[in-house]
Amino acid sequence: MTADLTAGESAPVTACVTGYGAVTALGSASQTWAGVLAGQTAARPWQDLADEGFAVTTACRVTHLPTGEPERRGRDLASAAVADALGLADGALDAVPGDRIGVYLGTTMGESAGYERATSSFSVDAHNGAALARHVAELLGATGPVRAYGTACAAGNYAIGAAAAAVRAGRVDVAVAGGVEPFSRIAMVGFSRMRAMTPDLCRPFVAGRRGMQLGEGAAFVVIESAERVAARSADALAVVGALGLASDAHHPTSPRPDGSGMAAAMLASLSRSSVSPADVGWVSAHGTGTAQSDAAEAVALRAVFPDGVPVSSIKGAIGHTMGAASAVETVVAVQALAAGTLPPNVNGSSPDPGLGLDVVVAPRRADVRWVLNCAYAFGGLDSALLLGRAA
Amino acid sequence: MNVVMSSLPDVVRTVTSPSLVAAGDAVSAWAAAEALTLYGADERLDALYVATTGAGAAESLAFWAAARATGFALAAPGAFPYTLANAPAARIGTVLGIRGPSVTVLGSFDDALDAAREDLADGLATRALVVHLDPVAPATSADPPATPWRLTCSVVGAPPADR
Repeated sequence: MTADLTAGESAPVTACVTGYGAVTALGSASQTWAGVLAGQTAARPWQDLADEGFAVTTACRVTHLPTGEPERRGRDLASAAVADALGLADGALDAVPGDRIGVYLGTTMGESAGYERATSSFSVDAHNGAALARHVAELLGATGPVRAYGTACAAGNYAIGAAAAAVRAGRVDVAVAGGVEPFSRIAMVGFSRMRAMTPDLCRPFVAGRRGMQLGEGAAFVVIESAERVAARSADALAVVGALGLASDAHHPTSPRPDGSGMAAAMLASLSRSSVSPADVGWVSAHGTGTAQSDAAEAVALRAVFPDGVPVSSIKGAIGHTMGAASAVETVVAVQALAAGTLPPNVNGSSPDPGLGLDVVVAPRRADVRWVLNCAYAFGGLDSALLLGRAA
Repeated sequence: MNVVMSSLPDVVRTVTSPSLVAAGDAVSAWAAAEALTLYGADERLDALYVATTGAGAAESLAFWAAARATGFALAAPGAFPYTLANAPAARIGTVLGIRGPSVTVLGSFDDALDAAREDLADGLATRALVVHLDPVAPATSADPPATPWRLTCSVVGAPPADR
């Protein structure tokens, strides 16, 4: 990401991650990373779901936080992840005016329990993603841009990509960006009735895979310019490349089988970041474990990376956290870059050879410079975001 | 990167939807048909930005109420995608054949315009259809009555090519 400068031009701004935090069914960000490396899955059956009559009762739910009020579950998840991110970023917000702090948040369902437990005093403004974004802004004292993306299961990438762009453009000094998804009974019913949900375990890229598994969680990163990071003698943990976005314009829920939208998003992120496919050391795949989505993603990956690239999905470990998913995966990508280790494809140690992918089946040491984090969503949304090793 | 923004006059349409499961499908289809009529000939559109507060909300309430009434095993699978805020964007983008960014922000028309202008300046796209789709009156109960929806549209970005 270098370019020759002529007189009068300023050097491009590099957006850096200086802190991250996550809450998943495996625990905190560090516990999630350790669990994924160990091949753990947080999936288990839930008696309350059986008692309520759900056909599928296995899910990945967060148990290490207080239960709290159901209608504020998303806020509680976000608060915990943001607190961890700010702690790691150590002083990122010190002396920053509120109007120079931006919040960028993605979600699918918002506070799902707010809809499930709606009463005569229901207000959408209390439960949608904008409410979650306002909550994070209030936590931070942020009065700058506050943006909520309703871009479903790709929303984390949208939020983090936009936050990095805002830092590069100088619209904010510090951005806090990520995704939130509390456990959603509406989604449990919806995915199950669409026959998209596995009854047992999520097995991305495995022949005979039976579908996705619902999770819940939140993840946030703190993003600042490299100049600001250096000025406050902080550590950059990773750099954020350009976001690539595309659309299938095909079907409300199914991806294009040719993977062309997915590939377009990947290529857009690469070209806009001036990074070659050969420089990508790992793809954090969307890898939901559904037959159609995994197959289309494999087609796209073979097209963009004809020489192959290591690929894995963490959804076998923590389930599909929907709007939080690509934010959690961003955090895992930052950890992979720092550790020089590619995490394995949990529950997927025997990948389908017909997909033609180099699936990482066990933790793999690697001198990885760039990670491409891919996320797609209902509505034919395709996204890819590059994360790079710091320095 | 400097982007010269052109902005066409905003266009406003309204429709009334019932508070039934799959009403979200009907609203999305209506919005897509209106957008096709207005902008179908604009072949240079390469991005779509939709702002909404209520898309998916009334459908979530209706989907869940119906699922509880019928039992989860009989819940309507075709209605579930319309519990998502980005369902209208999916329908509009498909009808117009827009293969670039599809962005749904939870907020106002100005929020979508801001997002589109920032992304165009960042090079994500060159010419975007910007839409605001919301009920005229937001849902304020678990059983919202039929309500009119308002669609507001504009285009920002590079001027259309000379023909």
